[in-house]
Amino acid sequence: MLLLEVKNLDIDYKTQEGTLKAISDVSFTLRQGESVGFVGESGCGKTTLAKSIMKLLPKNGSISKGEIIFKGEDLVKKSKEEIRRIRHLKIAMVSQSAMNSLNPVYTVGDQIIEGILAHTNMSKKEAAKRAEEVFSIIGLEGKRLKSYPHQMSGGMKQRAIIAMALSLNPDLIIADEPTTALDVVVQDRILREILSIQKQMNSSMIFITHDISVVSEICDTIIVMYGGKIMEKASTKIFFKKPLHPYSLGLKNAFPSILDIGEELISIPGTPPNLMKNLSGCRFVERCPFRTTLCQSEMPVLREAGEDHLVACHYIDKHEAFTEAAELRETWEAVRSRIIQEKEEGA
Amino acid sequence: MSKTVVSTSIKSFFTSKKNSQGFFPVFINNLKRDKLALIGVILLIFFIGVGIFADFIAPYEPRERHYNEEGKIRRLEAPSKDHWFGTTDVGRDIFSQVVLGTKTALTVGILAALLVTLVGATVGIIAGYSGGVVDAVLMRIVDFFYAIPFIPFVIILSAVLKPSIWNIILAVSLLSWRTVARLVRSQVLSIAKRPFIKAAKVAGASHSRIMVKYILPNVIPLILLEMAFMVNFAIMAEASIAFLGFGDPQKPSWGQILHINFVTGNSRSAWWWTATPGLAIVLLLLSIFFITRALEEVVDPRLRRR
Amino acid sequence: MDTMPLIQIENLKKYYLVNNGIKDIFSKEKKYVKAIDDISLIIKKGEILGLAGESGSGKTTTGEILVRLQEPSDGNIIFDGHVFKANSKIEEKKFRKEVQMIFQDPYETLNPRFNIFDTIAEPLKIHGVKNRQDIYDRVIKALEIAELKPAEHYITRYPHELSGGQRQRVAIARGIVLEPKFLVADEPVSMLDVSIRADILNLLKNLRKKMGLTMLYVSHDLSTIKYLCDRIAIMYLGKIVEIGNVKDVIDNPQHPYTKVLLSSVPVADPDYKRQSIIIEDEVPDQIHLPEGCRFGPRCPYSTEDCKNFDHTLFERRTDQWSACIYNEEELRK
Repeated sequence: MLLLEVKNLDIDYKTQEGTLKAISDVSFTLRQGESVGFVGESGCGKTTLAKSIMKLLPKNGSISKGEIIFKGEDLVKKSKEEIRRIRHLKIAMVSQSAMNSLNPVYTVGDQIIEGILAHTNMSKKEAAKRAEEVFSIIGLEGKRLKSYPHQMSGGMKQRAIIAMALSLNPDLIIADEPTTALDVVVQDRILREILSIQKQMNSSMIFITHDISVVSEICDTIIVMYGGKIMEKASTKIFFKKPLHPYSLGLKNAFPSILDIGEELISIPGTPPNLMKNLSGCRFVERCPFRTTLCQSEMPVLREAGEDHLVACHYIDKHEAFTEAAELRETWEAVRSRIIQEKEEGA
Repeated sequence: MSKTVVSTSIKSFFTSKKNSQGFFPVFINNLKRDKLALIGVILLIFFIGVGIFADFIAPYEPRERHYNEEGKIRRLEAPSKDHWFGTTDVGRDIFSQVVLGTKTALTVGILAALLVTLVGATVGIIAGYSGGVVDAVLMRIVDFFYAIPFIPFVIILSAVLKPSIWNIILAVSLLSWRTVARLVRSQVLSIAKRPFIKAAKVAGASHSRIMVKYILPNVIPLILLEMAFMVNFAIMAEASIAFLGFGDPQKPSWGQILHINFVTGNSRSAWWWTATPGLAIVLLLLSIFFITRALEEVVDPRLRRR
Repeated sequence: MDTMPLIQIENLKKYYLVNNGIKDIFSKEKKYVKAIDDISLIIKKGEILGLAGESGSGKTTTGEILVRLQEPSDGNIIFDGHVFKANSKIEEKKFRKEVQMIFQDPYETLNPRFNIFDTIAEPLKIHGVKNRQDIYDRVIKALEIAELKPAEHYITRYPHELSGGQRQRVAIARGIVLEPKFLVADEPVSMLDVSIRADILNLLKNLRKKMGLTMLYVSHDLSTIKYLCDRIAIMYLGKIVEIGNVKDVIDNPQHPYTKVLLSSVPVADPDYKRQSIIIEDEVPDQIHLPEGCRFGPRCPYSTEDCKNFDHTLFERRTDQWSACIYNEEELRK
């Protein structure tokens, strides 16, 4: 069953300098119980996408086109009040800085109970019981409910926030870099806890991160975003064996792993595109080693490239040659020289 | 690349200091949008013009008594062609007094503000950057000055010294640098923690170099804003002091005009005598206020429009 | 490779006095946060030493003391054969020329009011270089070494016009323009996008090759340390718990804490079955440190004996030292 269906979504930000197209023509679906990881560089639109589902876009941001269908209803058309009810009750969000969103003058328990009471018909007693339940699921002792935020460490606060998000059995969990600010040992445990809860409750999850290794461990599906568009979507198992998009190939080269044995890392030269400009071609064209004139004039659509695998590249058929070439440093060095040359010509 | 190209470009690096995010470009840009600030700037320029050329603009001596054709003193005459703002109870020209009062107001406002920000910013930067004992001592001095009530202090000061605008400038400065010092210090505290200050230390920059080249430029917007506030405050303070009768008897000032108006009991009957200096005070303060509002927007980007 | 030590740290300590408020005035016992508690290590000429650990381990403080951004509470630092005396102005200026640092946040590390030329020329001006042509040439050279090409394209820019990666390169150019002997890099890639991290890491590698730089690379990210460094020191609550060659420590960790850390790193391979060692994830309070081994309360192997342990480093394998009373065999039991 489809829980969430995003169709042809466009999101713009109005700024002093003009309109920034943060998301253009993004479509994807999410099944009940599925967890999908969004990865990409800063500014690729992954956080904007998450916020748009919760209708939490900043004032200058707006959905200019498209539909977000959640359980058969289009969230884009919903009023603020209707969305407010859906938030928490059916969709829960945990963000990177969430631990700072706890109110310092109330105990953590009070804040969770407050949240439960605001959205359900539970009595105060039942709500307190529920709070204790979610605390134990997330690995916090029940007595911690009586703590004030300043008496807790960063890891504990982040856990409390997750507990708060889960207390209402949401259908969809949106986690935006939930562990980025935490130490690796704490991160590891929290990720495990999130994963086990998601499986237990059979919730769906959108997991946003810049760390593809985290996605590989906890998500069923990975969506690679770049310049406000989806470049590649695949099941994690397939993706990590056989990425197809040139950007994904580049990312694979750039990522250091604790298991690596002395392979040289190669980064992707250049910087992400300026989304203020009207971009007609492929978003990755400036940094792509395999581009042609077609790529500069026409944005490729997301196409089927195999089972459970969608890629937005004009040259999916050449992927074998690309994969081979992408492993070579020279391929990317050529891109670097090309960018330098373009700069010199520009100046 | 040829040698000549290099050397011309060198010159441009040492001379060009243009910064697209600079303080004034943003401010000028804001003026285009913020019509009130534009009005403020125009008004202020007008007042400054009047202040500078006051001696040429004022048609008469401020204390000169005027007589009509019959040889009678022109007592409390309403505005006319000869006396645009009317006359006082002893036949003095109010227009000349208001024009010369502009000069006094601006002198006090600008000099006091300069002195206040100079002292306040220096103390604030040194305290905020040094921390520790230096900070503690300087801030206790600031606390001390916070504890002195303004009006009684000024009255006593002008009783001890002789009343003059210089003493008013001194009094205003003595009691207001503390505000600037505190505000600047708190901003310096946050700037001093930023990694680019650490980087400067690692590079071997001396404390004075860090304060002048790294911290000062980053607090200048705040200092300018405070300076504008202080101009307003000083003008208001001078007007209040003069209105209470502790002003400089030699220098016509708006507060003093109102003081004489009030003590001679004419504040209700001769509306022109009350309204013209009053309006001058309001307009000048308002113009500066509109400008500070626009400055504030530059200093605090959160106020900027998206 | 030259194996002479460039830096010797002997019994370094850094304690911060904690002032808990009014009630402390009356208590005689002073409370300290022991950010660094008696560590000794050697950084050899031309090597890159990785310093790893969680927040609060003291790794950043160690880096800042080595560039003298902070003064140690106790202990010696011997730099290139000279015992460095604190608070000596003449020596300080000379020292500053030879030791530089790269910071974590590329957005905060550059003065927003300096253009790139002024940013990189600043250390030269501070150290008395006056000739404009000379300054210009050296700035351009530093930019080129930092791979910001064409250099002329960048010098008139301001930091806000550059991307994070470009800013970090500017910071590196500023760090090397005086041709220092030693560079401390404090999490230089953790705030950069993955696609360009490798560039900065490769650049740091090249700096060593081109300029013979010795480096201390401070990071919580063991995979970048593995990629960049020759040796690694793992810190925990102000103590070094394990030190050795990167490959040895990562492939064969000897200290239980190193084992835990390594087992917690996510791996980008869905087929790889990672076995995390689950431990209590709350780090003890830094003021009230546990008795004996500091990792004791969280350690899955801890025994009564650990409470008397004084953090001596034992050489468990060749050149691999671990501050655990048990060796590998004993831990396996």
